[in-house]
Amino acid sequence: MTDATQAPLDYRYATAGDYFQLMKPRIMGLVVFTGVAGLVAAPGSMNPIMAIVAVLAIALGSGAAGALNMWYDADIDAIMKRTSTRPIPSGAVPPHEALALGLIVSGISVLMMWLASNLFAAALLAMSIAYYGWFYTIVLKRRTPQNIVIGGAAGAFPPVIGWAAVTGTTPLDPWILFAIIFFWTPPHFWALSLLAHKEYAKAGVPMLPVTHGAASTRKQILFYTVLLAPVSLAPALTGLGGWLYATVASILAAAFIWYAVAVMRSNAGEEIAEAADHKAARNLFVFSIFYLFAVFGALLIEYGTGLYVPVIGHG
Amino acid sequence: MADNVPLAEQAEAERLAAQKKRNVWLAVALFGFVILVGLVSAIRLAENIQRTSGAG
Repeated sequence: MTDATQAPLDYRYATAGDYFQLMKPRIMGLVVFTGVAGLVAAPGSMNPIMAIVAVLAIALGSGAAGALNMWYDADIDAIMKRTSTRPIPSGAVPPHEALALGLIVSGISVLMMWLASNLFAAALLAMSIAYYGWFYTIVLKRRTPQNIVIGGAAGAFPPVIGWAAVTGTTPLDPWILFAIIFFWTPPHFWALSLLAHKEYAKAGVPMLPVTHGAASTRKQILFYTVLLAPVSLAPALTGLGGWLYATVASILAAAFIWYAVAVMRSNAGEEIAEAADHKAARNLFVFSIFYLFAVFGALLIEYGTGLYVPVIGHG
Repeated sequence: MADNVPLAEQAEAERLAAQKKRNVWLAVALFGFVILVGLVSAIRLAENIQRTSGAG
């Protein structure tokens, strides 16, 4: 009797969608959005088809890094409820295929970026893939509670890459956009980890709530949110963002701090936490996603529709 | 044992169907990649010709 004769009827064979899920499409969406913002805000112009190919390369680069992450983290993904249905722990995709997908798509994305723009942008893309796929996933994630802070740089590269694709350089402005995402990442991710700290503890991942406790995490969330506020307003001072950007960034920075204060005052992540405490952390997590889309969306609208009016200078 | 034969056939048919679908998507992706590389190369060539003739 072979294994095939015993195959259960509910066995699921891998679909193309499973391979797409390996590439973390939700993160890809955020990466593409911020990458496009960098590309549109950069001075100079780019052939529209080349720009589309460059954005596609950024998306594929992000997806490749996601696949490498899922390959390496398959063991802890299987332990945590939130990630146990991912393609590898669910048994739909064999780990070696995820690794192959990650490596092949990494190469394709970097080559596409080089073809569509320049070697510098391609090198930045290659570095960002290595940063997330190797440095964050393999080196940092299981070793230090600062994994999210240091690893956050990986997700901050797309606007810099988009800018470099157009200009071949990276002056101060794209690095300010980098800093916005860098300081945004800890409060965003720690809000989620306050809700899932038991899962991380079970999997042995040293997330901040696991190693330093919920109270310390809530303080750190507020600390990074307060740091984010001036950084998010910097584009208005350098001339990168105009009045629309300054207005949106100011209002949302205040709202972000308000949500972070609510989390700080709650018992989110504690054993005694009630529904309202969980809700505070969840609200911050959801708002942080809206925040990033809105802030970069304001830049996109200013440059895409000609609404840009400088806050300082003659424009 | 005899009851398991249709089950095995069904499982094999499902496996082949899933594999075929994946192959179709892979072909589409490869075809798209080839088209993109061709398009980008053509644009690059056109830009270089334009630049050369402009300089001359």
